[in-house]
Amino acid sequence: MNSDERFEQLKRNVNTDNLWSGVIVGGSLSEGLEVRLTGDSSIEEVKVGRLVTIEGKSHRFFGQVSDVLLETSDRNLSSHSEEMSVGIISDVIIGTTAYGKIKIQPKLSVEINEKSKTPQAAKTIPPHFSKVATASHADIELIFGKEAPGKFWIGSPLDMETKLCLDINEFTKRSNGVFGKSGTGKTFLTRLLLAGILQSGKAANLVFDMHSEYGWQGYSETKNHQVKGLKQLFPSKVAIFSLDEEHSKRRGLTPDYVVRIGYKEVEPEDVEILRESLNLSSQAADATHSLQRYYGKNWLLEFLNLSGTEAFNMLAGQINVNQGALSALHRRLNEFRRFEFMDADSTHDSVNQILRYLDRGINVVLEFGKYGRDTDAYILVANLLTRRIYDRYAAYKERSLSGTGKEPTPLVITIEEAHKYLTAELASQTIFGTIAREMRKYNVTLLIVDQRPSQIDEEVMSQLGTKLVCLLDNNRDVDSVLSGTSGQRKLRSVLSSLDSRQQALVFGHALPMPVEIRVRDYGTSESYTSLGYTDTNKDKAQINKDKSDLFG
Amino acid sequence: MNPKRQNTENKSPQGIIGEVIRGSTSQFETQCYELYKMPRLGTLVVSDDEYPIFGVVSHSVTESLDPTRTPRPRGPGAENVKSIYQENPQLQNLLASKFISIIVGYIENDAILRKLSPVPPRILSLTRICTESEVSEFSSNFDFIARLLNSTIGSPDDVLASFLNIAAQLRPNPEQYFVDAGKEVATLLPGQMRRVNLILRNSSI
Repeated sequence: MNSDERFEQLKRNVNTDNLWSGVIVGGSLSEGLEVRLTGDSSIEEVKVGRLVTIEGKSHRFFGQVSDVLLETSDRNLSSHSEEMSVGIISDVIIGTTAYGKIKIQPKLSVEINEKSKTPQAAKTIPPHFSKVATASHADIELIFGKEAPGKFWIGSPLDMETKLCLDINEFTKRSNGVFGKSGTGKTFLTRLLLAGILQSGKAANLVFDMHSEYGWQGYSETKNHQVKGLKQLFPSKVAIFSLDEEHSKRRGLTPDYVVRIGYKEVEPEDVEILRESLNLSSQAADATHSLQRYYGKNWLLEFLNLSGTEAFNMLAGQINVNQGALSALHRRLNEFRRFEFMDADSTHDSVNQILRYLDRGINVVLEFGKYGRDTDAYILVANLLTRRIYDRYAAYKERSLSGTGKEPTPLVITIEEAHKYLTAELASQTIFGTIAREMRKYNVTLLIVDQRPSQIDEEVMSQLGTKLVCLLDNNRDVDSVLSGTSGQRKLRSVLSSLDSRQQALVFGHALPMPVEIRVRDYGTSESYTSLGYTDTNKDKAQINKDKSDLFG
Repeated sequence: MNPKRQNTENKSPQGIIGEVIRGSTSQFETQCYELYKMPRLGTLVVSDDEYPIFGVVSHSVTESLDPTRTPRPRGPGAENVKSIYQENPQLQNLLASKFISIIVGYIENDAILRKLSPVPPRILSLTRICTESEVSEFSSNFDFIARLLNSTIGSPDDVLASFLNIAAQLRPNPEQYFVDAGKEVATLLPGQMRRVNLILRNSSI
C-alpha cells in the first residue's frame, strides 16, 4: 500500500466527528425520516443541516438533518420531572425513556452493488432500524466529487473539514445567483467563484466590478486588511479595464485598458433601462426613440447641445412630443455630462477590446472607480457593453451552428445590484433579462450578485441554475430565493440559521443536493497558494540566489 | 471464573452452604447445613451439578422441620434469644433454614447462559455461594434482569436492588454500573419510571 492509498484508507476510517448515530424509527419521503438517537449520542452534537448517511438494505441514502427533537416514551414523565431530574435516575432516563430524535430529509440514494456510483435523487426510503451516521469524507466526495480540474473546492459542509466541490462545468451552463444581506460575504464568495471559473478555464469572466473589489485588491471587513484581487492571483489570465483611470492608479494599478464610451454609442434602450433611476416618465423615455429617428446616430449629443426654449418648442413640434416631457428628458440626460468616460469621439473600441481579451480566454474585470457609487453610470455602461457583446456572441454562435466558425468560449457576466435593473418592469427590456432567459443557448450566462432578490423579476429568478445564498432575513427575499425549490420549508429553516459570515446555503443545478457550507477561506497566504498563486517575489529571490550560487 | 465443575468445587469448598431439597426449571430451594446460615437476599448462588445452575436468593425462611410440630415459646424467664438456644440445643435439629433461589442462568459448554435451566437441579445437589469473580462475570450482562423482575417469589424489585448492590460493589465505578443496569430496567418497565427510580435508590444504598 503506498502512502496515497494509506491516506485514502485513513480518511475512510476516520470519520472526523462521529459523535452520534441513530436508527430509523419512522417517517416518510415527503415529510422526512424520524431517527432515534442511540443512547450514547449527545443531542447537542447534532446540528441542523448536517449531512448524514443511512445504510439501507440495497441502497445507501444521503440526507440532511432538518430538525432535532426531544421525545419521551412515557407521557407521565413530565409530571415526575422533579423526582426524575436528580440522581442516577436522570442518567438512566436519558437515552431510554427520554431520548433525542432527529428528522432527516432523504435527498440522494446510491445502489450498494451498482458499479457506477452516481447518487440519484432519493425516490424511496430505507427500512426501519436502518443505521444513520454522520457522512464521512468519502461520502462527501462520492456526492459532490473530488477536487479536480472542473471541480472547484468552494467550502466545507458545516461541522466538517471536508472539501466540498462545485461542478464548474455545470455551474457555467446556466445563469447563477449569489444572494445575501450586505456584509454576509457575498463578495468573498463571488470572488472565489470567479477564481474557480478562471482556474477551470471552462468559461471567461466579464465582471462589472461596481466597487472595485474583484480585480485588484479587496477589503476584508472582519480582518481589517486588504485581500488580493483576481489580477494579483492570476496576472496572466486577468485584464483590468477601468472607467476611472485616476482611481485605479491611486490604488497602484495600471489598467490594461481605459474604457471610454462615445455619446454615439448610447441607444434609446440604454436610457429606457434608467427610467426609474432617472425618474423619467414613460413618455419622456419613449421620446428618445423619436429623437434617434430625428437626429440619427448622434442623437444624444445633439439633443444635449440643444438650448433655449425656442429650440425646444421647435423640436417638440417636429418630433411630436410633449414639450414638458422633452425638457424633463433633457434635464435628466444632462447628468451624463458628469460622466468623464463619455465623450463625443466615436472611435472608441471598448467592446472590441473586451471581446479580444475574452476570445483569448482572458478574463476581464471592469472597474468603475468613482462611478461605482453612481448606479446610473453602472447600469448605463453595463447595459451598453453587454448589449453589444450579446450581439457578437449571438453572431458567433450562429456562425458556429452553421459550421463556419468556432464555438464561442462560454462567457459569464458578473453583475451587481441587479435589483435595480432586473425588476419585473425592466427585466423584459434590458439585455440582462434576455440573457437570463435565453442566452444560455448563446454560451453567455449571468452571475447575479444581489442583496434584494425579492426585487428581481420572478422570471429571471426562476431561470437561475445554482443559487448561493448567504444569510437573508427579509421574508420576501427568502421566498423569492427559494421559490420553485423542493423542500422549501426545511431550506428556510436552514437558511435562517446561517451565521452572518462565511456561511452559505448552496443549491441548484451544479449540486446534487442543497448543502449548507462554510465558505473556503480567502485572504490568507495559504488560501492564495491553494488557489494556485505563486509568489513571484519569492521566485525572483530564489532565482537570484541560484544565480549567485552558480556564478558567485 | 472457571466454569468447570470439579475446579469450582476445589476452589471454594467452604462456600458450600447446603443442599437442594426442591427444584424446578425456574427455581430451587436449598436447606442450609447450619441454622440461620442462609445467604442474604440477592446473593448469587450456584447449585453445583453436571450443569451448574445459577440462582439469586429471593426468599428465605426458617421453620420447623416437622410441619406438625410448630415451635412454641420457651419463656418467660429467658434473658435473650441466645440463651434460649443455648439452653435448648435440640432446636438446632428441630428447625431448618431454607431459601428459594430464582434460576437466572446455567453453564453449558463452558459458557454462561442467562436463561432458564433446561432441567431442574438434582435434589441434594450442593449449593454454594458464588465467588466474587463469578458474580462479577455473571453480572456483566444484564439479560438476567428480566428473569428477576418477572419472578413471582418474594419482592422481585428488592431482590434485584440487592443483587445490583452486590454486583456494583465489585466494580471500579459502581455509579456507572447502576446507570447501565438502570437503563436495562427502564427499558423493561416502560411507563414505570417511579418504580425504576425506587429500585435504583434501594440498590445504591
